Amino acid sequence: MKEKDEIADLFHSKLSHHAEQVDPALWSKVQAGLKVSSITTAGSVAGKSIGVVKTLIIASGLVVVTGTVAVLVLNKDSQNTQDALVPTSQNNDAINSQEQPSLSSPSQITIEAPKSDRLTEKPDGKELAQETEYVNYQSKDDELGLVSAPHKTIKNLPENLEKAQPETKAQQPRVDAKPSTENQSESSAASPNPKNELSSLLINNIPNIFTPNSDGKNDVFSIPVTEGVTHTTKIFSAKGELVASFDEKTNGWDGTILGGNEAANGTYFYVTFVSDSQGHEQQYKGSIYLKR
Amino acid sequence: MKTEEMSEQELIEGCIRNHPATQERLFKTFSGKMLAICCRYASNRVEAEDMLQDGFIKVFSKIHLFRSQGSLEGWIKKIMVNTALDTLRKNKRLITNELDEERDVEDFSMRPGNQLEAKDLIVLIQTLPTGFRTVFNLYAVEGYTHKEIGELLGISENTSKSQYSRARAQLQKMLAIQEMPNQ
Repeated sequence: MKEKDEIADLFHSKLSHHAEQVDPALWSKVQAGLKVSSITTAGSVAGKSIGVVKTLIIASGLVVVTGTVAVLVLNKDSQNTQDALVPTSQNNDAINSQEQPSLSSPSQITIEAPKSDRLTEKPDGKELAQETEYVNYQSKDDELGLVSAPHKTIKNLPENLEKAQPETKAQQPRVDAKPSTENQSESSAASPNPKNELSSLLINNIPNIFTPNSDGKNDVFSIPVTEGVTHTTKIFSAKGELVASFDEKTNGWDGTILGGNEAANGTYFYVTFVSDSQGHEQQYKGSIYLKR
Repeated sequence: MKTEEMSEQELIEGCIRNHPATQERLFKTFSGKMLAICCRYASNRVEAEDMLQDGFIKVFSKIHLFRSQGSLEGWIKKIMVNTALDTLRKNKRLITNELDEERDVEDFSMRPGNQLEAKDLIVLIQTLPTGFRTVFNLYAVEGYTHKEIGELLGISENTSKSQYSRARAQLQKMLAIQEMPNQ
């Protein structure tokens, strides 16, 4: 029920069907990107065919590298399940899916994933559900500093925005295995492995220093939660006094203490409870150094 | 090169098979509109093209998940919007709650009267701070509700409303410069 809004109407009418001229060169860039991604797709097929279902997708970059080097360890995965082997992708989609092209070759590529490497992505929304329209993509990789092809960041999400909470994210290696859920369809999105979720509550590490001197840089200490995630955070001085508290709706801590004075330079401690709409919670504690 | 020759279904199936010519056709069919979307979210053309590129790669690698209940265009569009949001987020421009400060309204020389064209409007939108621009796009052009926007961006519904009304006011001011001196 929107009120009448001429500005919105104007922009909507002029822009919702507007098309721009596309530079033909863009197509070749897309194509180049696709080549990289087809390798991972192939990996995923291997995963499916073996019947190992994992939800972890390794960053495509890694896939490319390790994939070629670490060769087909096909047999292995039947046994060593969870941790060691990480098929590279959304096995889940796999299942429901139609044939995947271009998988010709490496139907058996599996990758031995060193525990450390991954950036991952969990295709929990694997089924686009009926509301195919609600594909929601999250890309988080960059946060880990890994650079890679765009597709690895993909993730779909289901039906409605509520569910569209990002669950992808850098994950702890040990957490990644997830039972096969092919038929679970969209419900899987709603009931993700809680362990996976924990690490996805934050989009970044919590900083450990900030400089509230109004220079526009790092003036506020805030908890970098993923969108849709709530938190409550308390800041304590070294003496243990509560000096500030904030949550995701407020901007973070600007270095003023309760009562309005500026906090002195020094170390403060925070305790933050982070939770998402699906009930996953995590508590983080740490220190933050304030320097003006 | 007209897409009518090929039904949407064929287009989709070809893309699922990773058939390059079909992929290209799909790209050519939708890229113009999609680029227009990206332009609204990006602050410049280059960023928009990056979004477009990432978005299409997602489209192609996910197209086997497309279910025909909705329109293909609508599906692609959603991917583009989400890709655009991801890009902004990645660039760390979307993570704070009170998205950005207001920028000074610049003087804009545009076509007089009501003859504003889409390109002019895009230019106006691009002058908005990222937070305003994002909310404005989602609400006014894409037609999301404030509740949905709040969830999408991780801000409260009220923040979305206030961002929108400030964005709107700013646009109105800019439009008023040539259109309605009485405003």
